Amino acid sequence: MYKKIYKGEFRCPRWMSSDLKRFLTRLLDTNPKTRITIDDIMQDPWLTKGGLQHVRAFPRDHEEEDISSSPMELEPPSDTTPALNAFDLISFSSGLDLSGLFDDSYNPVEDGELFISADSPEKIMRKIQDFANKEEMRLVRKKKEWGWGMELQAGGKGNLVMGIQLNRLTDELVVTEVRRRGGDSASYDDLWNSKLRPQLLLIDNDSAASA
Amino acid sequence: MENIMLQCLTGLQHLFASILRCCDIDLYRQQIGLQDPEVLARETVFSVSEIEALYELFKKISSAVIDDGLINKEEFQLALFKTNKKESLFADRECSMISYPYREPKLTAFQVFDLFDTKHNGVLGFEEFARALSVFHPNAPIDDKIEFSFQLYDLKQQGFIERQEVKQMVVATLAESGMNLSDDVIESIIDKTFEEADTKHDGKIDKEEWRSLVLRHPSLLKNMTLHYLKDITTTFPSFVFHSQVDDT
Repeated sequence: MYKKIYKGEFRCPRWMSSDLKRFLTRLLDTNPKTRITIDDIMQDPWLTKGGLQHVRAFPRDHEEEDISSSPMELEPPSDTTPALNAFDLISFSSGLDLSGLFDDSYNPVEDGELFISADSPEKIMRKIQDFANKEEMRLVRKKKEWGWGMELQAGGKGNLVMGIQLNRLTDELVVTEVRRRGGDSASYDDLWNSKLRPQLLLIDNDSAASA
Repeated sequence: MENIMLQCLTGLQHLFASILRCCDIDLYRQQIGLQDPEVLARETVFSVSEIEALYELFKKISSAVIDDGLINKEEFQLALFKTNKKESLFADRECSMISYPYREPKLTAFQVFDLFDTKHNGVLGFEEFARALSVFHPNAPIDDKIEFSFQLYDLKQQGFIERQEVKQMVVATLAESGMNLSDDVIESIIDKTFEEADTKHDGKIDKEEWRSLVLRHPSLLKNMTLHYLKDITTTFPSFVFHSQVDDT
């Protein structure tokens, strides 16, 4: 079957209309230069026949669901949220992240960071929200088993997606994990290392000193 | 007349010799290479096509430093972190406001390697590679993932996870990111963990206790699933050229 896919050999069942067959042929063209483009797809007669509504596609993470795409509510889940245990901490180790085997551009060391701060989750989230507003990025809450998950999405900056996960570690400490989930390393590096990171870690130094 | 015959015979001899040599090379490659994808497919969660695609990945990783059809520790490190220098196992970041402390190398990556290396010969053959990765497939049975993760954390392979082993791994993880936690805080985190996990109160976590802990906190297994494995045939489509599967 894979050989047929590679050669672009396929057969259409009889119930398919000729418009559809034509559309499929344009889609399954093995030559990328002559293959149909996204713009052409939106204009293809088979799709536009009934009137096409504007389709928006957002990258979806495998395990997570969007809770709200409006500016984040700053209420954290109630304080019965359990804290991370030692094994949770260990599972953050980049040596256990085998994604690099499959993704040539992914490097767990450069594309993610973990830090601990003595700040409240609300304070950290507020900083992130302010940052998102300033940089004109979208901040989306994500449903997580516990803790606070969110994503910073910047369509403009090369489709950069930054995943941020906050979890309580102890009564005083919160662990934040930041990871590049989409877009290229350079934009991530610029946004995270030069802009967001110094702000978040500033809070850390302030309160960690008094903790 | 005889000379001609002799020449013909020598010619034929040369011909046969070179054919044999070609065959030998093929056989030799086969020994190290992909022998029976069906067998591996039967014994893992992968389909034959997925095994073939996985083999393309294996070839890529295993030829990075020494092209011997096997993955050594250096090649493994290279594939994961895109660097084989021990010193640069941590990112070098310059920031004028905050200075970064020295970061420890990734000891956990070597733990993973050792678990993959079921023959304990310091290198990974394709079979070991495929069988280990099978556990990380989204469709792999959760019991396999629980078993693998338990063995990963059982550093001394004693059949239980000791407090000391946990502390060692926590400290190593924190050091990786340059995070500093006081010993008191670390001890209290481990205390809480053992309180919850060590239901038999013997100071160790055995397989049963690990299993119930994980079933209560499935996120502990998040590293044990690699969604990339579901798309492996699209990530490495060149397996089609070497495929042993018939077109039906």
